[in-house]
Amino acid sequence: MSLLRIETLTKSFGGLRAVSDFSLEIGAGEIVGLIGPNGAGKTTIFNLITGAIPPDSGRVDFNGGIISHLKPWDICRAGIGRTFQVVRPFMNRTVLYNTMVGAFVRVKTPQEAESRALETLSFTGLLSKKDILAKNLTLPDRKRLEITRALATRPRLLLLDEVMAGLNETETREAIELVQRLRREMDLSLLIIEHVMEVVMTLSDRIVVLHHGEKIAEGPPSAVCSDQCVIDAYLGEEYGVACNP
Amino acid sequence: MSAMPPSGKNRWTDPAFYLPVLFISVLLVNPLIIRSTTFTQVSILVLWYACLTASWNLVGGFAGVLPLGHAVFAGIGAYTSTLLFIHAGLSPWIGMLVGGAIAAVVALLIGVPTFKLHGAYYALSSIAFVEVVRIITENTQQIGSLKINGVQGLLVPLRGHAPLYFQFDGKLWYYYIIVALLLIIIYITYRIHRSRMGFYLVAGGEDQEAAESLGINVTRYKLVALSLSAFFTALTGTFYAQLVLYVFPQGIISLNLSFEIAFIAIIGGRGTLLGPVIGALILVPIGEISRIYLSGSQFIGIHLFFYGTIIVLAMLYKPSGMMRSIQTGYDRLVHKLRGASASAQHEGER
Amino acid sequence: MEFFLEILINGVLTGSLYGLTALGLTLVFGVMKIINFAHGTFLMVCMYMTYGLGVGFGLDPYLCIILVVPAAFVLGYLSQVVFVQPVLKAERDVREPVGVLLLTAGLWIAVNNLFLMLFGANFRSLKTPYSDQVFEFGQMLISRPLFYAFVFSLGATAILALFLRHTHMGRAIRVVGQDREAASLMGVDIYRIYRIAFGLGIATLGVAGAIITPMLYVHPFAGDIYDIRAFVIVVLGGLGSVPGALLGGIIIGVIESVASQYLTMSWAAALIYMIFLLVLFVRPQGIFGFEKDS
Repeated sequence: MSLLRIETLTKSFGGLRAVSDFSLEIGAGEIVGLIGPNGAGKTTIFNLITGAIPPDSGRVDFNGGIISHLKPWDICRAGIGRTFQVVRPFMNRTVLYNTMVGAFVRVKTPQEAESRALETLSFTGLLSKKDILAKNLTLPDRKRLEITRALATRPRLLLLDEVMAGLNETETREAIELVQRLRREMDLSLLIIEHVMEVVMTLSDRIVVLHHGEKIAEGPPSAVCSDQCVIDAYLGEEYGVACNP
Repeated sequence: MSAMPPSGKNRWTDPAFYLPVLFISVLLVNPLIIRSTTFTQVSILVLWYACLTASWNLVGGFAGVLPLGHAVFAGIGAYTSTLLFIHAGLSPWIGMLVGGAIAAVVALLIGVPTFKLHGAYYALSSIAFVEVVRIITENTQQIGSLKINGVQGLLVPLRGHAPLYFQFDGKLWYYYIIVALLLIIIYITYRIHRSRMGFYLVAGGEDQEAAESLGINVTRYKLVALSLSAFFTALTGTFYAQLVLYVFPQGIISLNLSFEIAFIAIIGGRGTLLGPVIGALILVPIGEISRIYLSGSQFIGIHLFFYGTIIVLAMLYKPSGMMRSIQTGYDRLVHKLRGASASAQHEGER
Repeated sequence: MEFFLEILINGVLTGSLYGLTALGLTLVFGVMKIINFAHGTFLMVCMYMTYGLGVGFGLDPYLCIILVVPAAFVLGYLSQVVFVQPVLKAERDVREPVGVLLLTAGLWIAVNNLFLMLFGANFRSLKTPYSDQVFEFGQMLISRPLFYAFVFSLGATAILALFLRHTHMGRAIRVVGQDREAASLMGVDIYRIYRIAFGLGIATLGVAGAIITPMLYVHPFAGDIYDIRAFVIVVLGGLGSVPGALLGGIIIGVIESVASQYLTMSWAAALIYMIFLLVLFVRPQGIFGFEKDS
C-alpha cells in the first residue's frame, strides 16, 4: 500500500488553473522527484499536500487516512514535514531553539525536546553550530537547518522544496548525501522539487513532470528524460541539455 | 537567568542564585529605608506599570503581535470589582478574580476575529477596540440596574482600614501587594517562556506559516496567551481602582495607557522576562518627576515631550530595548563573582 | 428633504477633506507598507505654518498653499531621512515590522507637546473675510471655506493620481509599492523613492493644513482627530489606493454628518470605529483594495 496517495487534485487562483487533475502515489521509502518549468505549480502542490492552501477538488490520503481538509499543523502531526523554497528559519533564535520547536510536536517537556533536537542536529551535522543565531548562518546551513527542523517533527514523508538551489558543487554533494541517508537511516519517503537536473536524476526512483499545472510525464529517470513531451516542455531551457550528456 | 549554576556547589555562594535574591530583598526593604511618601508613591506606580507591561508582554512580546488595546482589560478589572463591591458588597479581592475571568473571556471573543489580521492591521484593530469601548462607557449611564455613571465614573465606597476589602490606611500595604502581583506575573511568564507554549508563541510570532508547518496551531496559542494576559491586566486594573478609589473611563480605558504599556515594553525589551520592569523603571520616573517638578505653566507638556523623545531615540538607537545590554552586564558580573570566589577557594586550598 | 440634502452635501464636502487628509497616509502605506502615526502631527504643523504666514505676513490661507506645500515636502523628506529610514533599514528582515508605527507614535507625542510648550494651549484662529460666509442654494446654506476645501481636495487628489499614473517618478513609486524586490533588481533606488513618497505624503497635508485653517481652530492637538479618522478612511478605501482614500473619506463624512443628526457626536464616532472593525474583519483589503495573491 502506498504511503501518500493524491487523487485528481485541482486548485485555481482567480481564473488561472495552478494545478489540474493531479494524481500521484508515493510508496514507503521511495524518493520521487517533481520537476517542471517555473510556474508549473510545483510549490502549489506542496502547499496543497501540507494544507497551507485548501484544494478546490480532489483528495489526499496519507498513511490510510484522508488529510486533504486538515490544517497544516494536523498534517504535520500526521507525519508530513516540509521545507520552504525561500528558507524561513526563526531568524532571531538559535539553531537549537529552531530545532526544539519542531521536536515539541512529539514530546511535552523541554528536556525531551532538547535531547531529540540534539539527536537530530548530530544526524544532519549541525550540532557544532547549535548556539548560533539562525540569521548568522550561511545559506547552505540555513537550508540544512530547515531540513533538521522538519526532521525533528519525526515525519514519515518529507517534502523538500529546492534545497539544493544556490549551493556550490561541494555543498550540493553533501546535500545529496544527506538526502540519501534520510531514506537509508530514517526510513523516510521523500518528494523533492529540484531544478538541478543531475541532482534529480541521481536521487529519484521516479520522476514526475509538471507543465502548466498538469502531469505530462511520469516514470523512472531514464525514461522521463527521453520523453519527447518533456523535451518539448523544456525546449530552450537547460534541462534538455543536462539530460543528454 | 541564562547563567546556570555550576553543579555540586552550595547555591548560596553562587552569584546566579544570590544576586536575584539580593535584588528581591532590596525591592522588599526599600520603602522601609527610604521613608518618603513621594518615593513610595512613584515606586508603586513603577511597579503598577511593570505589572501591566509584564502581562502585555505575554502576547505583545512573546507572540510577536502589537496589541494596543490592553487598557480595555484593565478597565474591565477596575469596573467589575468596583461594581460588585458597590452593588453586592463583594470584596474586591474576589471581585478582581471575577474581573480577570471576564477579561479573559472578552479577550477570547475579540481575539478570534482580530488574530486573522497581521502587523499594522492588528494594531489598528486593537486601537479601534479601545476607542469603541471607551466611547460606549463614557456615554452609558447605566446597564439595566447597574449604574456606571458615564464620563464621571465610579467612586469606590470607603471602608477605612479594611484589609479584607482591599482598603488600607497606608501606602506601604499597596506597595507590597503590587510587588507580590509583579512577582507572580513574572514567575508565570518565566514558566511559560521555558515551556512548549513559550517556544510555540515565539515561533508563531516570528513566522506563522513556518510554525504551522511544524505542527503548531499558532492562533490557538496566541488566544491562550492573550487570555492569560488579559486576566493579569484586569487584576492590575482592580489594584488601580483600589489605590485611587475612583474609576473613570478616560483614566483607565484610554489609548494613552495602551501606548504607554507598549512603549515601556519597547524601552525595556519586548519579549524579555524583565524588560517590562526595566522599561517601567526608566520611563515612569521620568514621566512622574517631570510632571511633579516641571509642569509649571510655561512647561505644560514637557514630561510628554520627554516621553516621546525617548521613544524616538530608543527606536533609532536601541530598538531591541535595554534588557539585552543589562543581561550581558549581569552575566559578566555573575561570571566575575564566580571567578573571584573560585580563585578565593584556590587561595584557601593552598 | 432639502434639510436631508443639505446634510448629505455637507457630509460629502467634509468627507472630501477627510479624504485629502488620508491621502498621504495611504500613499506612504502603499509604497512602504508602514503606518505613520505622526500623520495628524504633520497636519498640525502645516496648520501652524499657514497660521504663521497669515498672521505674520497677512497672506491669504489659500495663497499660503504655494509656500506650505513645498515646505511640507521638505519636512517629510527630512523626516524620512532622519527618522523613518534608519528604522526601516533595521527591520528589513522582520516579517511583521511595527517599528515605524512605534517610532511615529513617539514623534506624535513629542512634537505635539513641543508645540504645546512653544505656543501654549490657546486655540488660535485665522480670521478671513469669508470664514463665516455661506453660499445659498435655494434653502440650503453651504459654508464658503468648506466649499473651497472640497474644490481643493478634489484638485489635490486628482493631481496626485495623475502624477502617479503619468510621470516617470510616479510610475517608479507605484512599481516600488507593488514589488520592491523587482524594483530594486531593475536598478531603482528604493530608499530614494521612499523619501520622495514620504515627502509627497506630507505635502498633501500642506494643502489640507492650509484649507482647514480658515475653518477651524489651530492648536497643538488639532491634527489628532484627523489622525485616527484617516486610518479608518484608509482601511475603508483600501490601504494604498488613492481614489479609495477620497471615496472612503466621503463615506465617513456622510456617515458622520447623517449620524450626528440622530446620535450624539461621540456615538457617531463609536459607530465609525465599529464600521472600521467590521471592514477589517470582513474585507481587510478595503472596499476598493485588491486581494493580494501570494
